[in-house]
Amino acid sequence: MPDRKQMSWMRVRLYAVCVLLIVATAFLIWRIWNLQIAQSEWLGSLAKEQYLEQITLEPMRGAILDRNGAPMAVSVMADSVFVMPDELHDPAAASRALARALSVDARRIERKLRERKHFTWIKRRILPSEASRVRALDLPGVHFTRESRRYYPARELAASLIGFAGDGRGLEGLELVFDSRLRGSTVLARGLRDARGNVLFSEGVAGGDEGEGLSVVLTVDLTLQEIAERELARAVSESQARSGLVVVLEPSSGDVLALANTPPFNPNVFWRYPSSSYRNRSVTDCFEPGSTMKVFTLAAALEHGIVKPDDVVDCQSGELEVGRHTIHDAHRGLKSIPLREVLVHSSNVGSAKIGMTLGAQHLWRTLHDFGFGRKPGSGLPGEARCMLREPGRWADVELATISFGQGISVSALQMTAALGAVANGGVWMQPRIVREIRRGRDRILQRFDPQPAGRVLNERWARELTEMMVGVTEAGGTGIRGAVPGFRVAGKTGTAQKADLIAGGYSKEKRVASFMGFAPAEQPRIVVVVVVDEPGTSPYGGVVAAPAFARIVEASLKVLGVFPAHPVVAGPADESATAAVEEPGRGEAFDEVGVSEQVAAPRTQGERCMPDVRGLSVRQALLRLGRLGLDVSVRGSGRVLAQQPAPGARIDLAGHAVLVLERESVRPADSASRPGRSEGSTGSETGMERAGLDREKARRARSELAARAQLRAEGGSRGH
Amino acid sequence: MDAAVNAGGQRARGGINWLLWLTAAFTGGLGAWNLMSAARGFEGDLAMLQTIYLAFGLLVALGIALIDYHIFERIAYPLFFLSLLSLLAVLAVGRVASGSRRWIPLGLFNFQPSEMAKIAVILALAKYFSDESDPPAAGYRLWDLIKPATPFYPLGALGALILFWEKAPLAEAGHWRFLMLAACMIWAALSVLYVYRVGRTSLHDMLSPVIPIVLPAILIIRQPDLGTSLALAAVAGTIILFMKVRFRSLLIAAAVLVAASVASWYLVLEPYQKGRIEAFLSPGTDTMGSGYHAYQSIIAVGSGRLHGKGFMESTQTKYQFLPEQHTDFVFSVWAEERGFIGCALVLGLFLFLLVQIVNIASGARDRFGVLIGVGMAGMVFWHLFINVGMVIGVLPVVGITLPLWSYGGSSVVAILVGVGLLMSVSRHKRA
Repeated sequence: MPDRKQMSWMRVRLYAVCVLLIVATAFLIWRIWNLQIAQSEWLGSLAKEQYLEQITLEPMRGAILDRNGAPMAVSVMADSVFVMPDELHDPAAASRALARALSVDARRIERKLRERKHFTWIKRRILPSEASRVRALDLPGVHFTRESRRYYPARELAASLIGFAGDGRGLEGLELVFDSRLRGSTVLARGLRDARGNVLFSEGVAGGDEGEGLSVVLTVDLTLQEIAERELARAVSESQARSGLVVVLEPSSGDVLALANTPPFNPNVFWRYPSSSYRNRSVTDCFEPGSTMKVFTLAAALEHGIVKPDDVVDCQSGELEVGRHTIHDAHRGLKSIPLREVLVHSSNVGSAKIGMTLGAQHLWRTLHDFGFGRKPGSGLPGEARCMLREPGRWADVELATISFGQGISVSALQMTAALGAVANGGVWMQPRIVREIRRGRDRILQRFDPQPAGRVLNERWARELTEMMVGVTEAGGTGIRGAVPGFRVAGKTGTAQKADLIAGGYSKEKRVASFMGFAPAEQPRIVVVVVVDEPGTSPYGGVVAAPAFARIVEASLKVLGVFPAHPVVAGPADESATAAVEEPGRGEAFDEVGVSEQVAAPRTQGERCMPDVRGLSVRQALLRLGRLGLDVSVRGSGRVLAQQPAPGARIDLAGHAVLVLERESVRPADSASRPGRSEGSTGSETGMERAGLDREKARRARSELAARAQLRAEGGSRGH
Repeated sequence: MDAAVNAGGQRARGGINWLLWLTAAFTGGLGAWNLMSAARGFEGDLAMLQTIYLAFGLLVALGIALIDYHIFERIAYPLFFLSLLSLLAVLAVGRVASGSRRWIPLGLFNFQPSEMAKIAVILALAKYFSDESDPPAAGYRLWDLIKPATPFYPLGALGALILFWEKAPLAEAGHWRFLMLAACMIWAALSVLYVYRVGRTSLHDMLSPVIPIVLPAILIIRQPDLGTSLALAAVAGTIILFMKVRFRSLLIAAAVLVAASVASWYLVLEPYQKGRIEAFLSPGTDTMGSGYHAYQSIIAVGSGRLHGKGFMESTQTKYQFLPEQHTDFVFSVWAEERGFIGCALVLGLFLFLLVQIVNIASGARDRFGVLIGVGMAGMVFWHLFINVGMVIGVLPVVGITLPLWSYGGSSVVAILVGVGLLMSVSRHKRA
């Protein structure tokens, strides 16, 4: 029967099928072995990675404070708005409402909302006022998370010095230099999450101020900075100059008290300014100093014993031939003058002759000692070395020109530090910009002490030079407009031709006008250098820079509590400057050396009064109180309504002040849930409120987890 | 061979094959247990429901085991026709879930006709080949399989065209479709005339073994359910291959298959399906998109290691990283929780089941019984291989169930109906 044959044949095939089944199953088992045994390490870690959410909490960035503790850069927690479009009922209406509340483009928001996403940012780090507007809308699907935002209460003040931070990283200036300290260390929080990104459970967030960024305390005095910037702006606009620089230094310590550049920029909205305005040009830019250099030529000659103060210099009627070149004085006709008067008359010929007598090697040595041609070492980013060539490479005429400040370039900071050495009795102090680094507001972690770099000038010669420079601001001197009523001021003008980079040689019109000096001459408290670049009205430092110098010195000394020993008879500095040559004997009234010493009352001790800050904006109020070293708490938002202590009351060191603002507690629901906090107020914006820090931290951990979860959900859900 | 004589005169020679039944019960029980972990997070107790389906299916299997399977030889074609009708019905009135129209709501539960269709196709093919009076000893030629002269072939082709091109469900049929149907009728009438003229009148002569594959496969693709139609084609192909096909025909068929898969890339496959294949060809690239399922599944399997993470301890399941973890990806839950030892155990169990099925086939009294065995072995094997292969990343992701393990009443009951048939074959085995 054929069927029987067929059947046995089928059985043969069935055995083959059986073998195939076994082989196939064996293959599957082999592959599973491969995954579960051979690759298990790796795949297991992948699984762990997915469900163990390790989130790094960005720490609160540390503050940058001025020498009195006034905030210059602080971090505050700000709300960020995101939308989960799935939960939204009416995207069009929602986007219109959001656009109005956040002042952004409605169409852009609507496009975002219509995207098929589960999560989309609307606006990050918004203002408290915007946040309260959005909260008032009470839209479904609109959520908040808290992110830290950098805030610069002093706005333009010292902006190029402070720089700015973005996205938690320092980008420019001190924010960049001290980024690692300010940033602090990240805090790790752990949680479990599912495939949709929901965090199921989160554990231990480190408490305390562990990981919080450190605070950087500067040597800068915000008040002096304000004065310097104000006067610089005025000088630049009055002289129709291109730009200007001011450096104010405390000679005894090398502390930089103010560092101003024009044009200014507001670091709160840094992206609106060209990046060229970010540069801290007092430190990074070089210019040919001109006559101010003569001070150091004289210093070199005195130090090397080439000349004595009583020597006589023949100025050859203002003409000197050096090789194929002829050197001129600005004012012709000077014959033989005593050495002391070289500065008063600012004689190029005199300086050149002294320099040539001194020799290149000696002159270079002293200039180098005074810090020219090397980085000042203040720790600021981009410090320029500027140009001081090795003496062996000086051309014949260069020795002569360098002696009066051409053929050499310097930065404003170098200039200030060098003059500081004269003011400091011959000891060059390394310029210092950071005083200390603190944890929180008061635990000092690291202190930067003043760094004397050694004596560069005999004390006697320093005093002699000071006296010569005082002559400059007195009757008959070129720097009479740099005089400050009531004080003896040492000064020197500078007017340099700018090198013409296109045509070669020196430009006919373009000048750098400068004035440098210190006061009081007997016991110098501040050294000030004012540089005006390409002034339009007059090229002379004695005309365009000296008045600004005088005003800065006068106002700054007042702030520093240095008062003239005797009442000033003459009018204010501005007017006396216009009086030019007159006012004979103004200096005589202060012959007594060190009179002002007794009067100088440091502001950080003795009695101080609570100023009246009512009616001021929060920013202004905080600036004023911060200068007094007060710890300030703020409630509400808007202008100051009431203050504690009352105006005029005596305040202690490290006292505490409370400001009550117009609109207190804009979000009652929120403050109810977290008693003691004034959310959404500009007060918490300044980061001055420290209460509930740990709670804040834990809350941030939660919102951070939530925000990430949303982001994850956005990515993960595509897999379904 | 006369089927009627066989069916009438035989008495059962063996007892009930309890070993097969118990193996199926044990495998299903393990699957239900696994579902307790896999179906966490779903509403209702799916593991309990699965146990009920399993119990019901086992009872049905016992019932079928008591029947002489030759009855099914007689009703194989009507059953196939009924199955086709149910597949058409699901297209017309089916319930849509996650983008597919697969279920017919029947009050208490939803019936998935495509699962039962697999059994119907096995029976139809077994019937067809056992009706062959003289299978070619050198193997079938493609020509013999397709039988282009049969009138149902053009009819089927046209119907397939209609169903294939019309994207809208049948319920929303347009006028043009009636025209097409009318054309089919005319063609069919002409075919009958042709057959009459040629003189072939037996039903068997007018049938082609391609029909039980192509018609249901097309209807199932329309749901859309590519995985099930592929499984169905694989099962049917197994039976045909078992009946021996000429080598040259095999080559041609292979070439056509390759051409068809290339064409289907452009014509049939949905973007998500292409994505899965692309993700399979370059694994680990699009782990958040098309490669998500495969990636998560491999992570689950691999992190199970030798002993597994323990019952209910699988993080991939607990946190719902695994997609379809109660249906297509149940095995990855098992692999994660039970590790290599558990996997080897389950695969061994399935292999044991398969060997028993083949053994029953080899002991079958007649060709119909053998082919039921081959078909069932093919069905269990291909589901197992494709599903586990997908879970462990050796095959692209295709929606296909693991027999007795994936949640779903229709699937479980269909397999157990097959088990019942096998038990009947075993009971009426050769002397």
